[in-house]
Order: sequence, then C-alpha cells, then structure tokens
Amino acid sequence: MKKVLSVLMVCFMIGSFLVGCGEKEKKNPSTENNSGEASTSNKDDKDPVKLIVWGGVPGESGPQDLVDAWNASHPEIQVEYVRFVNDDTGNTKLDTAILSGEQIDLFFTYGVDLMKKRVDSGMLENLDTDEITAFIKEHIAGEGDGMVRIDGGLYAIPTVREPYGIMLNKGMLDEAGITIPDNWTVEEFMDIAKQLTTEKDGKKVYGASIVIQGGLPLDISQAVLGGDHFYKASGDESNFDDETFKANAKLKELMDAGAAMPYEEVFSRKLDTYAHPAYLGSEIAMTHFSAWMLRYVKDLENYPHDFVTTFATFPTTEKGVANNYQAFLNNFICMNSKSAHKEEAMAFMKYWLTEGSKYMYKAGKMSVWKEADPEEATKAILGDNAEQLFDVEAYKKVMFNPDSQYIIDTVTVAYPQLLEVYKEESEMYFLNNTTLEEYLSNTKKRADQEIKKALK
Amino acid sequence: MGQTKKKKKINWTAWLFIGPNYIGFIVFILIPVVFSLIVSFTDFNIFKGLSGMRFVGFDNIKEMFSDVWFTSAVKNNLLFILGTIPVLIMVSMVVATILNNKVYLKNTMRAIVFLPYISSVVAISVVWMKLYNPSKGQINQLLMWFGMDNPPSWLASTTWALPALMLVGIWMGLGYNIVVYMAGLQTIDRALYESAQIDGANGVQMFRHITVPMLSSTTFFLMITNIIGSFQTFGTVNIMTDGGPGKASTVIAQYIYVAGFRYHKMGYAAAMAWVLLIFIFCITLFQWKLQKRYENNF
Repeated sequence: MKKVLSVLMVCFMIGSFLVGCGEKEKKNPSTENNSGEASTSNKDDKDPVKLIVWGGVPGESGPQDLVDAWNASHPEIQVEYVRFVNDDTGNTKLDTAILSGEQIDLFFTYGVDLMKKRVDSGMLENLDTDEITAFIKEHIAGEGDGMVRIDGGLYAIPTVREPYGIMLNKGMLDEAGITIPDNWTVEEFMDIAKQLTTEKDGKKVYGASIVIQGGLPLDISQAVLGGDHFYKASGDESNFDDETFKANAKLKELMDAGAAMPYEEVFSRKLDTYAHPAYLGSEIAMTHFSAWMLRYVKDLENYPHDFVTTFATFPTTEKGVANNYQAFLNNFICMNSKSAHKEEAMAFMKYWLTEGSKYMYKAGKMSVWKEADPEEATKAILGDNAEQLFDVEAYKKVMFNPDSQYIIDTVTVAYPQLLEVYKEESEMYFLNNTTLEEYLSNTKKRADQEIKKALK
Repeated sequence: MGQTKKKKKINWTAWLFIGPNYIGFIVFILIPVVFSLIVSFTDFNIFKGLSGMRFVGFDNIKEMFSDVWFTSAVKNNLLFILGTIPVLIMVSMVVATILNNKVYLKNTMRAIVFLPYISSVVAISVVWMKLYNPSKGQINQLLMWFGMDNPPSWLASTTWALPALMLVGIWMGLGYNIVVYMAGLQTIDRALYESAQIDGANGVQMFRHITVPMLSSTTFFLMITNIIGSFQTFGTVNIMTDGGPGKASTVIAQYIYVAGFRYHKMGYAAAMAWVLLIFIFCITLFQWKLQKRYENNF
C-alpha cells in the first residue's frame, strides 16, 4: 500500500511539473498563431487588438497623451506604451524582451549603431514597401531624403528632426560681458569657457562640459564632415587621422586648465551622456544640447534655477570652415519583425508620424510631418513661461538655421565597435593615460582593425 | 531470480522519486549546457534563430586571443583574484577565530559581518558608488580630512577602479567565509588547545600552530569556491563601472554579457563562457592535486 501511495505521489509530482511547463508554453506569445488570422482588424470582433509600443520618452512627457488620443478614436486597436531608459542597460533590456518573445510590436531606436546591431540580428521589419514609400513621399518632410538605410534597406523611419547645439547660462555670460560670435571657432569656444570659469558662493563653476555620448569629446568633426565621418570615402578604413578629430581632442586642454569639468567627476556622476543636472545646478556655464533636453530646463520642480538659457551653434575648427551638419533625423520608429499585428502596427506608426506628432512637442520633439507647424512646435517645446526660461530668439536661430544640413550615416561597417573604441580611447586620454599622439594613433589603429575584422 | 525482480521494482520507485528533479536538471541545465557548447562553434545570433546559424569551427576561439577586450578581461580577472582571495582568507580566518571565542556582542557581530553577503548586489553597488564619489564621497572626504590633498578618484580612475571593486568584493565575501570558518573551528578538538596551553603556548602561537593547520581543508574549500566566485564577478562591475574607464575594470563575465547581449554575438559569448569553464576546471584540478599532496604530508 505504501509503495502504491508513494508511486502515486511521484506521478502527481511529475504531472504537476509538466503542467507547469505547459502553462508557460501557453503564455508565450511567440507560439501564438502567426498567420495573421489572430490579428483580425474586423471591427465586429469583440476583442480589440492590443499593440505594445516601447519608447525612451517618459510616458507623461507626451507619449501617453498620444496613445490616449489614439485609443479614444480607435476602439478596435488599443495601444499600451512602455517606457525604457535609453541607455546601454535600457536598450539591452529591450533587446532581451524582444528576444524572449515578449509582445512588442513597435519600438524606438535612438542611434545608427544600435539600429545596425538590430538589423544584423533580424529584429527589424524591412519597411521598404511601395505603401511606405508612397506614405513618406506624401507626408514626410524631405520625402525620404536623409533617411538612414542599412545594407540598402529601410528598417526604421525617423519621427523627429533634431538640430543640436550649445546651451549657455545667459546670466553668467552677461556677468562676464561676453557675446557669442557668429560662426565661432574651437579657439573662441575655449577662450569663452576659460572666462566663464569662476567660483560662486564657494562653489567652483566650470566654463563647459565637453563630454558627450557616454565618453566622447564634443564632436566638432561631425559638424564639419557630416555623416560617415568615422570612415574614409572608400568605406574600408577609419578616418580618425583627419584634422577635424584633432579639434575634438583639443578640447581636453580645457580640462587641463580647470575650465571644463574633469572626467573623473563626469564619469562618477554619470554626466557623460546628459550633463543637464550640472548645467541646471549652475556648476557648468555651457553644455551641448538637443531640443528634448529642454524638458529638464522647464522642470523647475526637480531642477530649480533662476537664470535664462540661451543658445549657440556648434563651434567650427577654424574661421571660414563650414560646419553646417548640426541636425539629425532621429527617434527611429521600428517594427518588430516578429510582431503578430503588423498591419495594425503600421496604422499606428503612421499616426505617430503625422497627426499624433503634436502630442510629442512638449517632450521637445520636432516632427518630420510635412504639416507640422514649427511655430506651434516651438511654443510647446519652450512651454508656458518661455520668456523667463529661454532666449527665444537665440533658440529659433539655432533650430531654424537655414544652412543646417542633416547628418546621414550610410556606412555602418563595425560601427558599434568603432564607437566603443573611440569612447575607450577618449576616456584614456581624458584621464591622462595617453598622450595626444597615442590617443589619435591608437584610435585609428584599433578602428581599422575592427573594420578589417568585420569585412572578413 | 526473485531477487532481481525485487531489485528492478526498487529501482523503478527510486527513478520515480528522482524523476522530477532529473527532468528539471535535463531541461534547465543539461540541454542548455550542451546547446551552448554547440553554439560556441557557430556565429549564432539569438535574434536570427537557428536557421541563420553558420558553423565557424574554432574561429571564435581564435578571435578571442586577438580581441583586446577579452585579453584585458582575463588580465583584470586574474588581478582581481590575486587582490581579493589572500586578503579574504586571512581576514576571515582571524575574524572567525575572534568571534568563536568569548567576545562581547558576539551574535550581533556575526549578523553584521554576514549582512553584506545576503544583501542585493544592486543596493550594495549604488551605496559604494556614493562612497567612492571623488569629490562628494565619504571616503575621499575622510581622506581629505586626514590631510590628503589628492585622494584617488576611485571608480573614475584607470589605476584605482579595479582595486575599488576588489575592496567591495572582499567586503561582500567576508560574511560567507567567516561562517564557513566558524563551522570549521567547531570541529577542532578543544583538547589540542588545552594541552598547548599547559605547554605554555600563547594565543598567537596556538592560532599559528593549531588553528591554521587544522583548518587547512576548510581553507582549500574556500579557495576553490572563492576563485570560482571571482571568475563570475559581474554585478558590481556592471553597475559601478561598466568595465570602464577605458578597459580598466572589464572582467570576463561582464564581457561575456556585453558580447552576447549588447553586440548580439551569442556564439562568441558562448565560446568565451566555455573557455572560462576550462580555466576554472584546470585551476580546481590543480588545487585538488595540491591539497592531496598537502594532506599526505600530514
């Protein structure tokens, strides 16, 4: 009897274990019917289709309004917005979620290096269809000019125009009696940074922060050369021996002179991607900016400050050298190639790119939609008390610079690795572990090796 | 004849009992391990699935040795082991001996030293990042208060990032090592100490000539588990420095993660994981051999 009981119990245990496995199996959306039947767009259907969209902008800064507006007018397709933090960790989280088969129909990619990785991994649906081409021609400014293509395919559509530049503490400028010259050079930028370096209430104020993108120097080179500036024209060799990269490297002299925030502090306070907390805390007088950063300037609750922010274009290498590449098409909307609701996702994608884009103004996102009104966008981006916070004229000058051209990357061989090499070597240089010559030659040598490896 | 029948029955029941665990082991451990071995000879990219897999032979292994990120990771890992394990072993043995005797607030002290071992790595990392901040961190404030003009910038310095992480590693591992040593101390015959005392030995001599040798098998056990643990260091590095500045604090487990999940090179990551396994296996074998020789000398 005992034996029978024990055998029964064991059978029960095995049974329950297997049932557990089965349950998991059922919940995995990747095993769902993928034939399109599951994704009916039949309005009589009681169950609306549910789409999940992942983006880097906090829901309350605009995306939630956009989604709510869509959901109200499209009862048959209900969208849920999930925010991920757009840094290495956040992007890894997104990749892993897609990988594990979690339902994500649309998501945002915020850089060509990431887009390249995701295309190589087959995560992105190729959007090179007649339907999309016609849509872009009809609705998107530039009609497709300047859109990044990876290996000849269009895998993502940029949703915003993103000019960038320098934002400055106007109070400090006025106090020092400085006006920013038009078409300023790196030399002038450095002089002004030194003049703006002071002590305030026993606290050191640095003239500038010169670190961007997780550890690179301000990229003067890109503003001069435009897209593909990491590569020689042939595309099979890196370009780090170009004169313009010396201008990037020159900025480190500001750190040495104590006029730019030292790298140690930038690194340990994680100001290497976004330096706005230091800028709004009056610890630095100028830093690079993009329109989306202005949402922090408007956020007086978390970043209380009483100075006006003014704007300037990026400096150039030397007088007379054009540096018009100061805008990106960015915030690429992508479709998961494994989405079970591609048709519905496409409809929502089009909405985000057109009608829905106005909800994103307050997050600092200038739409690529042909019918978007720049005045309305500027109003929403600068907020209600624009005059108290911003030098509105200077903002318009930078944002609507008629000479501005888009940075378009077309060569993407080993791009993620090149970025990593440039970042690491820059860190070593900032921390005085390498000399200027070593820095430039190491970067060039290692980048060339990575390109060779990828082309093998 | 009846004997064998009976035996078979007993085996059947036994199989049923270990069945659930066995199935779990096969599904969640054995199959993934074998799969990762297969994958390490391919250019498997998880997003492309099995259909996009190409067999590349030993290319992944070859690439490793010309990959500066990997070689730095190995170097840093070895430094990490050399810097943490001797300190861990020595300090935990001494502290365990002290806690094993009659000390004031013994139980509270035990709880305090064990706490870091069971705390969340993320919480620990965030707190230590605050402590290590070059200008506002408590560590440097203290050093400056003692008159040091230029204290190290810890996590933001290519020289000090790894030692800073070692210190956190030591602090986290102490609790476990101490508890294991205390268990080891319980097995030492008190009579040895009593006779040593009669012979006039003092505390230090007793520690040196009784405690240390009698704990040798515990020490070997801890050496092996600590070395394996050090090779698996990931959380603190990932959160506190992400392998930086430059490549100063990249360690193998963290680079495996970066290669697999950030560059999507799963085949390469699996190959590195297997190289790491062979590494650890060789070190463990070597330690076993040493231990055998050591014990035979007794």
